[in-house]
Amino acid sequence: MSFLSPEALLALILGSLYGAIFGAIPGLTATLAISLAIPILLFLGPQVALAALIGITATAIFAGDIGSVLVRMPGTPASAAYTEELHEVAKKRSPAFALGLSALPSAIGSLIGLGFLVVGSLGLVALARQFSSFEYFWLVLLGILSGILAVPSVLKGALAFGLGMLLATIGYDPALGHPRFTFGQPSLLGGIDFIVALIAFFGVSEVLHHLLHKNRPAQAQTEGLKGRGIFREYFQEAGKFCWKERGSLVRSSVLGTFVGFLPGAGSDIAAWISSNLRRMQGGRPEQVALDGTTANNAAVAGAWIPAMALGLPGDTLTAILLGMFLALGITPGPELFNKHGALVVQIYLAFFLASVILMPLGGYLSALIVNALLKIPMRVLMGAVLGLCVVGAYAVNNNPFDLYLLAVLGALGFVLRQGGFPLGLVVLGMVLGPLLEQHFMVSMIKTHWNLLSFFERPLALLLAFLNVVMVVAVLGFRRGWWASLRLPAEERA
Amino acid sequence: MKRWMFALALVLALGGLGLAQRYPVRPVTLIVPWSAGGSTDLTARALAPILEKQLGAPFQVVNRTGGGGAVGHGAIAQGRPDGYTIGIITLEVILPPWVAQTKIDAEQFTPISLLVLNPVAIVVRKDAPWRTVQELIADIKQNPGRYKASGTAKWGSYDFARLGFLKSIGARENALPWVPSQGAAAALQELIAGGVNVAFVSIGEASALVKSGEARFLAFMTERRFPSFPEVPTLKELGIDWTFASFLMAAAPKFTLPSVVDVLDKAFAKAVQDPEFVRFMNNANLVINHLDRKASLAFLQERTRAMQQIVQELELRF
Amino acid sequence: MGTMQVWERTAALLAVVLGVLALLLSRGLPQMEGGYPGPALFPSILGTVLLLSGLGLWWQGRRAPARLQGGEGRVLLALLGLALAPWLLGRLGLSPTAGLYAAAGALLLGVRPRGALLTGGGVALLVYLIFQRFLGVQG
Repeated sequence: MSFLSPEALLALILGSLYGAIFGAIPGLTATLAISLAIPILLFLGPQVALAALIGITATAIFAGDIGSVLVRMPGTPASAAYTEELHEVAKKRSPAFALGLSALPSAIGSLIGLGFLVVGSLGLVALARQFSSFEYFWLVLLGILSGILAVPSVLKGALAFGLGMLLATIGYDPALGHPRFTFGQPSLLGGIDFIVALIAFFGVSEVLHHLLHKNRPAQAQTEGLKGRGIFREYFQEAGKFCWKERGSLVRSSVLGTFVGFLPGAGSDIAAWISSNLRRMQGGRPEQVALDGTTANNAAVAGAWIPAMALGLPGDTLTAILLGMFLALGITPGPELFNKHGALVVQIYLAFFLASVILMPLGGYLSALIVNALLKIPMRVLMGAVLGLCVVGAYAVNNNPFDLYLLAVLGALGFVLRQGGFPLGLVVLGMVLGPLLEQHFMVSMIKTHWNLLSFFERPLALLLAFLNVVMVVAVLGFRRGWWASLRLPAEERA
Repeated sequence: MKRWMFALALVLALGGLGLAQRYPVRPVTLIVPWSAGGSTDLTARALAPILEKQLGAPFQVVNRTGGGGAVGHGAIAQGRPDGYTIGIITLEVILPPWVAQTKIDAEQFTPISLLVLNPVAIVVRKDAPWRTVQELIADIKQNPGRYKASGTAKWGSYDFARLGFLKSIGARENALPWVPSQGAAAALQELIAGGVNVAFVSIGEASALVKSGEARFLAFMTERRFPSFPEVPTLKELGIDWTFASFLMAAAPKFTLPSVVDVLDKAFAKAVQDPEFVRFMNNANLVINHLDRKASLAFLQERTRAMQQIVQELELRF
Repeated sequence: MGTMQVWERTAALLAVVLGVLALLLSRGLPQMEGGYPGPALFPSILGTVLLLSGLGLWWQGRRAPARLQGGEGRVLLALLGLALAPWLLGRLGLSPTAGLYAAAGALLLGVRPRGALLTGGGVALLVYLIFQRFLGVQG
């Protein structure tokens, strides 16, 4: 297996561009981009699909800044932390400089994050080789608890997660192989298809959301990109500024990677923390934007560390990617590194190319495309999204029954979204829920329902302890923590 | 109902007589009940271009997935029996729990050719106390329920490899309890980590671990010794009458014309000898094992009976 | 915030209903050997979680004002339309169905008929090229 075949390379480039466009346009999210792309990618095999997915995820967060520069609206929530500062820079100096200020630090943050990803995932995998079902149970529980606790309203988090996990119990149960909640419907025996659910939650519910708010005012006018001295502004000037700020680049990268690594906290939180730190020091708008954009891109790589090494997602995006891994027949964790070594190298390499070459070079190109696309009314785009959702949901399994699921789950996703429930946690429930049950049941069958066996192995005991520490720490921090970070009530990745 | 079906088949047969002479004249749909990238899908996609060249009509591989294989198998069984809808069926159609849940059984298909047979092995950790399978059997009989085995989900394919093995040595179902796993790889990780004592997985799935010395084969559930591991005994030669393998079989809906099935059978027989295909299957750790349509039907019937016997003798309830 | 309350309560109610349903249905599932809970364990835990969190949310928001916004008819129409998709797919084929949904969606969103037609045509073409030609999806 070659490292990066021409097809994979093409997929990476196209994926980056596609992710950049979706990330940049406010209202089109990275999760929507992935949901619409997955039915196509499934046909192309794991190498190509993963390359494209990395392209999409690696650039979507950076591209959120393009929206900030052009229309003063963050394309993704991760850019919301410093939108005003970045737009101010674009107005005061030039859009080209602002884009450069976003692209270069993003690339650096992503690169430093990648370094941690390589080292960290290899280290964690070495540890994970000794894991049996007991350790995995605690690990999965850690991911679940931190996901629920990271949401502003724990009740809403628990409800969203519970719904997701309940949806995932449909089909054969892991302990006795007995079908649950299938209502005599053979199409449900294997459970609800994850990808169909994804399209329903992020595609259909988005369209429904727009249908509900049809009467909202039209979107803001774009600034327009003027064509003079682009190259000098974009690379040279922004590059010079980055060199001057190299210390804070490194600091924000490390901070971003760490926040991304924490289960439950993703790019948006990384950006808030990093840019708020700079604000508190009285940084100028350029500096605040630079710190924020570095951190949120580093967090993308950070979130991949536990995802690849342990099969534990760091945020919504990686939760979706994990579901994708499983759909492609790859189990993340030690098995991924044992059996698909070439794939792991390819993931690193694709990440490297996406951040070092595609972000800085493709950044301006995608900004030009986005500038043109922003003239298309959102209504037309949403109509097209609806058509593509129907096709995508059908193409995954060639099963018309999935289209009924699409409508039902779309309605569910819509209600949850309107009520301010984090859809990411529903996804987390669907991905991690079955793992929790599987590892619990396997452990119990192995030991004849000796509950103490969860505390007998040293590593398991350590992980159990970590769970307790995490819950206590987060509960302790929660009040002041959320106020200071000004996190929006509605979390959307 | 039966009579109606018969009449329908007769009409189709009469109407099809002229057509059968020049089958196939339009694209043939080859349904794969499992998702893209799996062994069934890989086999189908490797065969399609070869069949296309031989028969002169396009072969379109369609993944009809979902429902743990129920959707795709249902689509094959309910396809028009005109030879233009065929598919690849798998072991599930003879597993009693799956049949009970999906209401799809081997009777609903016309076998074309058996294509692949992946025999199952009994695998233990390198430091396991048993040197031979007889020692394992003696230990299981002395300490029923003490050791655990894994391989697939409960009532999954390899669970029946275990059940047949237990039946053949005269033990009960709970003499060697099953720990469900998400698949062979997860079961082997549990075996290495010490969570279970025995793994029932296909020879190909365990061969990497065995070659690296982390695990040992005790026996194979094959008719004859396996070429790539000639030193591993078969259960049969040790006096335990039990063979088990997961399989891939080309099949058409019931009532497909025998003449059409014959054309397809001959095409598959030639296709599996294609050197390109043989190399591909070797790389994918899949064992080509062709049987013609009559032998395939006999194989399917024999296997169905063997599984039902297990259910009866071990008094399984699911 | 008023409109959010409506949906929050709808979701809370939905959670309560689903939770109760999960609790009831899981009583019919088989047990493990020795009387240990088997397939029913996690659905009953989840049913309880849903029931409690649903009730909790309902209680938290009991005083907040709630009102509808006026777009719900369109949403319901779209959902009912989606439920027709399997039937339409069998009649029209893949790309026309996609085009139809895109056009109808755009129309519902307030795009003028000509624009909606254009959207539908564009999506149908895109789907035909990518899914049917390039990926070989049958429709």
